[in-house]
Amino acid sequence: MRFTDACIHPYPDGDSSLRRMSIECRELGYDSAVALADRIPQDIPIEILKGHLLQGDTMKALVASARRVPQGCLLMVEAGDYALNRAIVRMKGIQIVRGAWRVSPNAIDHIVARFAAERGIAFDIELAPLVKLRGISRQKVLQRYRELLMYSRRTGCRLTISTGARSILEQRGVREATLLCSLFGMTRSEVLDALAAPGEMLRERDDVRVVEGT
Amino acid sequence: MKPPTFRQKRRYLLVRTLPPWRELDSKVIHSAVLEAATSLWGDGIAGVMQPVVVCVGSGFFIARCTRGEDDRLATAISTVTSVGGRTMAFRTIARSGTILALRRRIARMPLRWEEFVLEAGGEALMAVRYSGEKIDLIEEGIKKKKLLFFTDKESEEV
Repeated sequence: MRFTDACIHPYPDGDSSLRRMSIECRELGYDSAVALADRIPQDIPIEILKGHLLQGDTMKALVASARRVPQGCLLMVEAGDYALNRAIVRMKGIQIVRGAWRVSPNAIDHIVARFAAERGIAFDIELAPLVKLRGISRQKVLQRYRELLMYSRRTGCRLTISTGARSILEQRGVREATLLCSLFGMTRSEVLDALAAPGEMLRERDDVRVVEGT
Repeated sequence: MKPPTFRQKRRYLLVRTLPPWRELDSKVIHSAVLEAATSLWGDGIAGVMQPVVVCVGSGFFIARCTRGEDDRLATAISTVTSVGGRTMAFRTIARSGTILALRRRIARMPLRWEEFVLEAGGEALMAVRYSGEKIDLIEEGIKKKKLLFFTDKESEEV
């Protein structure tokens, strides 16, 4: 099983270079990471998967943004209101829905989760808000994640885990991810599955080949 | 001192501090850990956990809690983001029932660094090199210092 941090933001978005973040990733127990970076340098100590976050608040903007996506990227999108989320999970090529902790409680429901499960789309669990926030804000994040976990258990939709780190100081290891995810009831095996999910998604996508009929 | 049968069993956690070259006072670390534990678990569980910082070295510290609460303390420690107003990270790297075992582990940790001045674009930047290829650049701003985390290869490009 290969463990992947589903989203890191290296320099210039953050204060740490991709190479430095990948060294930290290796020390923290990850085999690969998804980086939102334009350029991936050579001789990186772990496998770096290129991610692309679609920008836009409306479906029209997202579709326009999806046209400019480089090949071989893991396609991510920020969750929005309920209507947008229903449209997102039907959109072609989307692989990870991020920012589920930011949206209102009703923005993701069992219908959205079922569509996501059918299309192999994963919901991302970002550790950064669990680490950075305090008090009621953190309690709300835990509530959202608990709901996501429930949907995942019932509908079979995938979950991924990301640190969302912009600095090496924000990166957390596999063990810490397990502990933090246990706060909302995620079991160790579920955490390990979620950490392995981005790699599996890319492999499944690469396995699919369009064969033209004769 | 209580007789051995009356003493509470303890667990010790070895925690690495990042960046390791930053000098830290044990009181400041203790209050950061206690604040994180109380914020995450509440007064009740933090009281049962009894988190204490036993010893502080350069680049690491050892924390203590009651036995069975080490998972909770490690979770709380992972939520520390700043210490004494400065951004930092704590990473639990080992746990044991004795301090002696952790001291043996500390002896194997690479805890040396060297400070030097890096010339970049006609500007002299303070830099710290450690663990072979890691380089932290300290950019002096008007109001505060900014840290950049690079490696040997990238610092050559800078």
